[in-house]
Amino acid sequence: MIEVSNLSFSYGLKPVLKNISLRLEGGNIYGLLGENGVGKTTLLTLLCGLKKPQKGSIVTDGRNPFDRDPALLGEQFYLADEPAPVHAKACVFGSSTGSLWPKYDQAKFLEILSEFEVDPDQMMDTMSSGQLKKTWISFALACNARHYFLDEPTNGLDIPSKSQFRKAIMKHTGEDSMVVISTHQVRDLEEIIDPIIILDKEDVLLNASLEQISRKLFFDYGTQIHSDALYLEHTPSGAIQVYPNTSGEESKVNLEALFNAAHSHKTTVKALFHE
Amino acid sequence: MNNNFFSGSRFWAWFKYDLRQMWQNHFKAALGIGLAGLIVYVIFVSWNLIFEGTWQGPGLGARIATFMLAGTILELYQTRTYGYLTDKRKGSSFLMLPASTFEKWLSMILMTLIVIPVIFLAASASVDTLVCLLDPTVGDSMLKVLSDNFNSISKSLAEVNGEIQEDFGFGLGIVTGPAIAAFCFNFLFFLLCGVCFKRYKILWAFVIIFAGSTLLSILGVTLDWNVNTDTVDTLRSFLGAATWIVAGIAACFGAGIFLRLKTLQH
Repeated sequence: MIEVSNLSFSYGLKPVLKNISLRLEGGNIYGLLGENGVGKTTLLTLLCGLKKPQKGSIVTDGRNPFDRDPALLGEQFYLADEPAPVHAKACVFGSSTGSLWPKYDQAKFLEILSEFEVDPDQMMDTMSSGQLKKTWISFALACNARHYFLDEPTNGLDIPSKSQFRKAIMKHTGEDSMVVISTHQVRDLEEIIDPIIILDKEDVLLNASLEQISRKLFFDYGTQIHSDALYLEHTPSGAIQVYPNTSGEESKVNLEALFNAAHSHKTTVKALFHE
Repeated sequence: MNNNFFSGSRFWAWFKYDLRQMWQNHFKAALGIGLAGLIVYVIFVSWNLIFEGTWQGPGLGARIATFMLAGTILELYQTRTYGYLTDKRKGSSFLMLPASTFEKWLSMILMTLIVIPVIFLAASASVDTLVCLLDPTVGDSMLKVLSDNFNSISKSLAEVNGEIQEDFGFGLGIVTGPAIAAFCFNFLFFLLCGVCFKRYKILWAFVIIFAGSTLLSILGVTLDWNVNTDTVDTLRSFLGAATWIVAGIAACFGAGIFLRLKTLQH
C-alpha cells in the first residue's frame, strides 16, 4: 500500500503538486490522467523514489521510497516514458540486469518478448522506439514486482502491441500487484484501468473506482440531449453525455468523456466525489 | 549490519552487473587508451622510414611520455565512466536498480581505482613489452628499466641536500605514498565531476582545478607558507603531511560521490 500525505513538490518557484493526499492499494491498476504539465510524471517519480518530496510524505509498505532501500527497489519497477537504449542483446540484458531483482524470471521475459514479437537476440540500441519499449515492458513484467509505475507505456506502440500490452498486464502481474499507469491514451487502456486518478493543476481532481464513478455520474450514449450535461460530444451514432447520476442507474464509463467532464466542471465533479 | 545497507551476495550480484556494463561501454576505451604506445610506435617508425629512411622506433623517453599522456587521458575519461548518471533516462534506470547506495558507490570506487587502471596498466605494459621484444631499435621495455633500476631509483630519491639516506624503504615510501594519494585524488576528482555536472564535465573540472590552484597560490603568498625541506627529516615530515592532506581530500571526494548518489534526483 502507498500512502501519500500532504505531498507538495515544485520546480523552482513553479508549484506542480500542492498538498496532495492519496491512498493506493495493491491489486489495482490505477490510471493516472491529467493534462500536460499537471505533474503526472512528477508524481510517478516521487512514488518510486526518484524524487524527494519537498513537503509531506510518501510511505510505501512502511518505507520511504526516497531512501531507495534495495528491498523496496526489488519490489517495484519504474518504466520511463522513453526508456534508455542499452548496448546489449535483449536476452543478455534480461539475464544480467534481471539478476538484481529477487523474483526475476528469464523464461517469463522471453515468453513476453515472444508475445510482443520482439527478437531476443537483437541489440537493444538498434531497436525502434516501439520495440525498445516492448522489451522494457517485457523486462518489467518479468521482474515480478509488487509495484509498477508505468509512464505512458503505450506511447510508440503499434495497434496490435497496445492490445498485447493490455493482455500482458492482465496476465503477468500478480493479484496483489499495484500498477500505476500515467497516460494520455485513455482509449488504449480503458478496459484495464480501475480506479481512475485525475490530476489537476497542483491538485487531485478525482480519485475513484469505476464503480464509484458510475454511481455518481451517468454516461448517456443516447440521442436525447440533456440540458444539465457536464459534457456533451456528438458522435456519428448520436452523442456521449455525462451528467450527475440522479437515478442510481449504472452506465459504462467512458474515460475520455469523464476526463473532459471533470476538466470542464472541476468544482462540480470535485464536490460530487467529496460528498 | 543492516541488510539494506550492505549485503555480500547482493553486492557481488551488483559488482558483476557493473563489470558487464563497464565491459560493454568503457573497458574497450580503457584498453584503447592503454594501446596508445602501439599507435605512437607506428607513427615513429613510419615517420623515420619516410623522412630518415631508417627503421627506428621510439626510445624510452618518448614511450614514458606517451604512457604519462595516456594516463592523463584515462584520468579525464573518469568523467565519462559514470557520467551517464546525470542523464535522466540512464540515471533513472541506475537509481532504480535494486542495490543499496553504498553497494553502488563501493562498486564505482573499485572500478575507478582498481579495475579500469589495472586494465590500462596491463594494456600499456603488454604493448610496451611486446614492442621491445619484437623491435630491438627501441631498447629496453619500461618494466625492465623499472625493475633493473628499482634499487638505485629508491636510493637516489633518498638523497637530499647531500645527505644520503641508505634506508631502501624510505626511498620507496617517499615515492609510493604520495603517488598513490595523488592517483586517488585525481581519479576521484574527475569521477566526482562526472557525476555532479550534467554538461561540459571536463570543462567544469578544469575550471575547478584553475580556481583551486589560484586560491592555494593566493593563500600561500598571503600566509607566507614556507616549506622547509633542507634535511631528510624535514622532507620526510613535509611529504608525510602532504600525502595525508591529499589522501584526506581524496577521501572527501569519495564521500562527495556517495552523497551525490544518495541525493541524486531525476
